[in-house]
Amino acid sequence: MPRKPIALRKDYAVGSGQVRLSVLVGDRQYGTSMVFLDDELLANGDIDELPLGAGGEIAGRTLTVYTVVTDVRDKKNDMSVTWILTGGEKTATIERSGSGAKSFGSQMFKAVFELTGDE
Amino acid sequence: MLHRPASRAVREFLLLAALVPAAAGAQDSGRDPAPPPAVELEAFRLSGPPALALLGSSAASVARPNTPRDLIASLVSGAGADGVVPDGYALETAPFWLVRRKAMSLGEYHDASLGQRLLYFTAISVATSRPASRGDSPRDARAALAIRTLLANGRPSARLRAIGDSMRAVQLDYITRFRRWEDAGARASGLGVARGRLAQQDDLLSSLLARVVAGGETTLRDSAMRTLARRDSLRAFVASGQSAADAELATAGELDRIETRLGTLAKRFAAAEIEPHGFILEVAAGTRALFEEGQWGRQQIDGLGVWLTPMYRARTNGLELIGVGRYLSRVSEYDGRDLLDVGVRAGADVGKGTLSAEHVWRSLHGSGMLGLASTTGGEYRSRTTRWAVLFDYPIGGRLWAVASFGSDYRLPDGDRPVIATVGLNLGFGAIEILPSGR
Repeated sequence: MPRKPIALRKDYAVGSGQVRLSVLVGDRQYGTSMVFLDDELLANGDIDELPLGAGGEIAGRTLTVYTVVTDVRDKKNDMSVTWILTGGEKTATIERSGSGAKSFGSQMFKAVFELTGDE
Repeated sequence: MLHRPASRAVREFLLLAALVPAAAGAQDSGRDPAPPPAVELEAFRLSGPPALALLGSSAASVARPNTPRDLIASLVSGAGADGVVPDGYALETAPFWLVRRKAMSLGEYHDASLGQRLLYFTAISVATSRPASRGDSPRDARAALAIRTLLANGRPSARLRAIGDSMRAVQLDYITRFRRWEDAGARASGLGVARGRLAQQDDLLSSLLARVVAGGETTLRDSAMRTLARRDSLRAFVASGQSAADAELATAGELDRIETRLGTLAKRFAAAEIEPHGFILEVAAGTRALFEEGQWGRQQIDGLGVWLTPMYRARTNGLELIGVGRYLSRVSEYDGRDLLDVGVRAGADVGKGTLSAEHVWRSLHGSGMLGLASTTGGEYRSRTTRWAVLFDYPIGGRLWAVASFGSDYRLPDGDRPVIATVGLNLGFGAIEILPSGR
């Protein structure tokens, strides 16, 4: 049975400009991401400044980011993922940390952003 | 790429079953043959902390603290009691990695600038040694303090990149199945409740039908029909939920298998990461002190050492070049004289095996503690060389067949041992050359 993902759920207020997403896998570990806008796959692999769309187009939609991190360090299994959203009303930088269940194990990180616009 | 690069060899325990004993003492057949000297097949790179190398000893274990708290605890426990230098203590730590580096990505680590490399790869080591006490009297002790770093660390090898690509593909597969597992779990949720309600509807329907059929209570007919519809709807829901639960279970099994596969790839990645391609330059230096009667307060500097180890691994043709420049002062093996080694080794793939050849020039300086004369009364030679040809071949798993021949350094008594060994490398464990980050 897979481990429970390390989860994040947040609202992100978009503006009128282009919204972009970066995913940073820290602690010198190896990670890969898949990004979905609602159920539409936007990108996978390393996510660096991924354009999500103009604020007006994506407001009201749900951004879901799956990142699986595998421990590639011999003696340390700390893991962390940082999500950075830019282009909205504010830049959001949010980090979550965890650790592999065992040496050379993997851990899923899941972030869900509700993209909100002006009501 | 070398199947078994020399740098890996120094990190493996080498068990030499000397099927062909070294013909020691080739120039002096009149005396009882001395036991063959230990043949250090590949000692170009430091196999352990340089502080240990300065003491010319090996500790049973080397403490590698990962946090400031671990470091303090290790130093306190290693300081010894009653101001006496402990025996056989060794510690190596990379200060940069004592604290957690959440912001450090793998890309930043692999593409580090010179300044960053100095931060990432600099390690400090300390070690102590003390001969066994005679009676109750403590003996003199030695302690060494050393530092090593990588001034150049090449670039990620093709093997590392290939493993990374494989990991990426497997991780994407993992995410895809993880979403299926999540979806199946969501569809299967409420299955237990639905089963309970289905059982209730079944019981109610049985009761209603019995009363309609047996009792002729036609007024209950509509109620029975509504219950039947609810029962059928629940049956369909439970069937769908059961199917989702089955899918959830099957997908969980797939995820477990993928995670196992990722674990295997991660181990290979970690192993490949410490053998980059291109130019690598490892530098180490340290000093050694003598402590009279083993007391911390009565010390005097009695030696130093400097190691310079340039390496080059070619990306495609399996060629590996290693050089060594090594200066050690007051070496006990040579009556306390100073030693300077300059050498080079070239290795290349030959089929599945690796063939390498090395040549080292050794010169001795200074008068030493015991004078210039050798134990046989002859002139102490101040220059000697060593050459060897080495071949190793994978037998299977972590087992390697190794063979070597050549001529070792001339000994202080004038003998020049022949190197001639055949043996097995069982590849137990590994000592990290690069700081692991803990």
